[in-house]
Order: sequence, then structure tokens, then C-alpha cells
Amino acid sequence: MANKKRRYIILIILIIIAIMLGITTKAVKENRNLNFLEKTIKDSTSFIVNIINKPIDFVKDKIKENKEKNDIYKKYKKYKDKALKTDVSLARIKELEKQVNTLKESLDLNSTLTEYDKINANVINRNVGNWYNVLTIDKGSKSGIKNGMAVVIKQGLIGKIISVSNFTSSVKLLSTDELSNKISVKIKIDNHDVYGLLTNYDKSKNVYLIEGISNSDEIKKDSEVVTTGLSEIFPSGILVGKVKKVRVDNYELAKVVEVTPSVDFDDISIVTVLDRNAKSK
Amino acid sequence: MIIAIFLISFALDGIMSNIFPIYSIFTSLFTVVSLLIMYPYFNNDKTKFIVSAILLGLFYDIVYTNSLFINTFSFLLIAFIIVLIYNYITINKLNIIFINILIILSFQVISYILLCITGYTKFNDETLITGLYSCLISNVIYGYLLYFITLFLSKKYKIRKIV
Repeated sequence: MANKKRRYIILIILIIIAIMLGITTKAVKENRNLNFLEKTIKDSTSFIVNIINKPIDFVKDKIKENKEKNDIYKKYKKYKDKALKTDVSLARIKELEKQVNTLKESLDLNSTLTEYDKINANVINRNVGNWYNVLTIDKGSKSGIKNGMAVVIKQGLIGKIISVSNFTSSVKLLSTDELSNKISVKIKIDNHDVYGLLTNYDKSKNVYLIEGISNSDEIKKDSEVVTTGLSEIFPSGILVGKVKKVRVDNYELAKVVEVTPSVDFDDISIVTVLDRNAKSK
Repeated sequence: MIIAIFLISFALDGIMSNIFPIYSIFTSLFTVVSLLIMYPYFNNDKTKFIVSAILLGLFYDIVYTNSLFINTFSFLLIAFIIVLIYNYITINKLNIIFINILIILSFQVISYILLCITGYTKFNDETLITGLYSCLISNVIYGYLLYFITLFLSKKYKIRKIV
């Protein structure tokens, strides 16, 4: 009798585990809407963590500032020439913007692939738990952030928003073993672009892999890789990295391009979320 | 004291992630370590300990990882392992290091397997090995410090500790 009861208990436990695993499989999917309880807990905890982080950030900034002070003269020399060129470039950009606006008006276009609004945010915590490749930032739906928006830093693309609460959001980094959403990218070569799909990230080599490139396309080392804007998520022209190596795939039918990321995933403290839809409204 | 240590360890997990680089050898799992160190202060109340572990795991999921129930599961299993260990071994200042390492490695393996089963990531032995060794240093140090701090506090404030 006791044996039978024990069997029933084991069976019930196994059923509960199976149901929980089922729920978890659904829950870990990206772009999931958080429920009210999750949003409340996440917002309140992040608020406290944010307050604790303030003095730590202050000390970190001071250390960084001191380090930068040491090689300020080198930087001055480096940027002196660049500043002169920038003025010329700015004037040219203004002229080009004018031309684009005129063309848009004549073609009755609402937006182009390169347009977006920027929302800046601070990183509250980074990749806690080791496996997740997720950052939490201090801006949420109240600041206009939505699931699926692209996230960049100064050097280039780092990931996209996967969940949003009222005052925080989670960013899935591109440095993950398997990208559930492939990213459409183009490799800039002299006068033309070669289109491909960024499908994977190789952690051991620190490279992205681009597939779907024809064997006949010539690709040079150090060519820039940028987003195409052919999806609803990523605007066009955001730097992803530079070509490191080109090889042929296992079937010798297409090329696989290894790309060194333009960003350093180890040190991300301020990010910019790109709202592509804002401009078209 | 138990709640204070749990809260501090939980907050420290987030704070430490901001101090060290993302892919460094100082990955923190302080909440898991605090479970191991604090078990004797539950005075053999296993149910209370298991419930605390489940709640901590759930909060970990919601606040840090966005992976509902993965850490709840992992924390639950780790709590069972901790209860088992304390049933057979008496913890002292020497073997706490080895038991701490065992718990950290078990937690990492369990959560990685769960993530693979649920389709969050694909299995990669290299990633697993990197994940295992990258979390040892900081957590062993934290575990050792926490062991002595709790020992000191329990003596000072005469807090009962039964294994």
C-alpha cells in the first residue's frame, strides 16, 4: 500500500516537473511580454540596485578619468587633425541631408532605412548567471522602449531588446552562441555591397559568422560589415565589425565570412536604443 | 541574519556584474553560495530552507535573467544537494572550500543543462567549461569570507546553529 502511494507521489512529481519544463520552454523565448508581477518586482529591485550602483559608478568614473588624464596630450595630437576634417565633413553631411529631404518630399517618402530616434540608457547589471548574455538597462516602456529595438554603443551594434518593464529593459547581446534571429548584413567592398546573413557568434575566436555569400564574390580582409536595414529591427548602416577571414563552407558551395566585432562586449556601461518606428510616425 | 545575508548576496550578484568585465573569471554566484553557508542557521527546518531557495531562484529569474523557472529549478535542486551534503558531512573551515566548489559547479551544470533542454541555448562543451572555471575564484573567496562572518555574528549575537 505504502509502495503504491510512493509510486503515485513520484508520478505526480514527474508530471509537475514536465509541466514546469513546458512552461519554462515557452517562458525563455525572446520577445516575451512580462506580466504585472514580473514588471513590479523587476522595477522595484532595479531601482534599489541602481541606487547602490551610483557610488560604485562614481568611483569607476573617477578611476577612468584619471587614467585618461595621463595620455591627454597624445589624444590632443591625434584629434587635432581630425577636428579640422570634421568641420568639412559636417558641412557636407548638412548638404546631403538637405538633398535627402528634398528627394523624400518629391518621392512622398515617410522614412528611409537609415532613420531612427535615439534613447540613451545606463547598464544596471551585465550577464548575471553567466549563460544568458543579457544586460539590464535603466529605461523601459515609460521611455518609449519596445521589444525588438536595436541596441548600439559608440563602436557599433551590440544586440536587441528582448523584454521590457516600466522602468527597465533587457538586452540580448549578439555575443550569444546561437542567434535566434538572423541579422541581414552587407559587406562594403569598393563600389558595391555583398549581402549576407549574420548567423552565429564563435566565442572561442571572438568572431561573428556570415553565411549565404556566393563563391564568386570577392571579399577583402578588413572590409566593413554593416546592417542592411532590410528587417524591421535594425536600421541600415550600423557598424557590426570588420572582415577577419574568408573561408569556404563544408559543402564548398558558399563562403563563410568571419567578422571581428567592432564592439568590446566586456565593458559596456552606456547604451543607445534605436527606435526605428519613431521617425516614420 | 538569514534574510539580511540573502538580500546582500542577491544585490551583490548584480553589483559585481557591473564591476568586472562580462566575460571575466570573476563571475559571481553569491546567492547560491549564501544558500550553502546559511543552511545551518535554518536549524534543521528543511521545508523553510527549500521554500527560501525556491523564492530566491524565482527572484533571480525575474530580476536578472528573464528565464522564468530555470533558476527556480536550479536553486531547488541545489537546495536538495545542500541538505544531502549536510546530512553526511560536518562542515569545517577546511572542507567548506571543496564543498563550495562542488555546489558552484553543480549549479552551473544544472542551469546549463536546463537551458539546453528548454532550447534557450545549444550545447557547447567549450562554453560549459569556460562557464565552470570562470565562476570559481570569486565565489570561493566570498564563500570563505561569508563562513567566517556568519560564524562571528552567530557567536556575538548567540544565534543558534544546528547541523
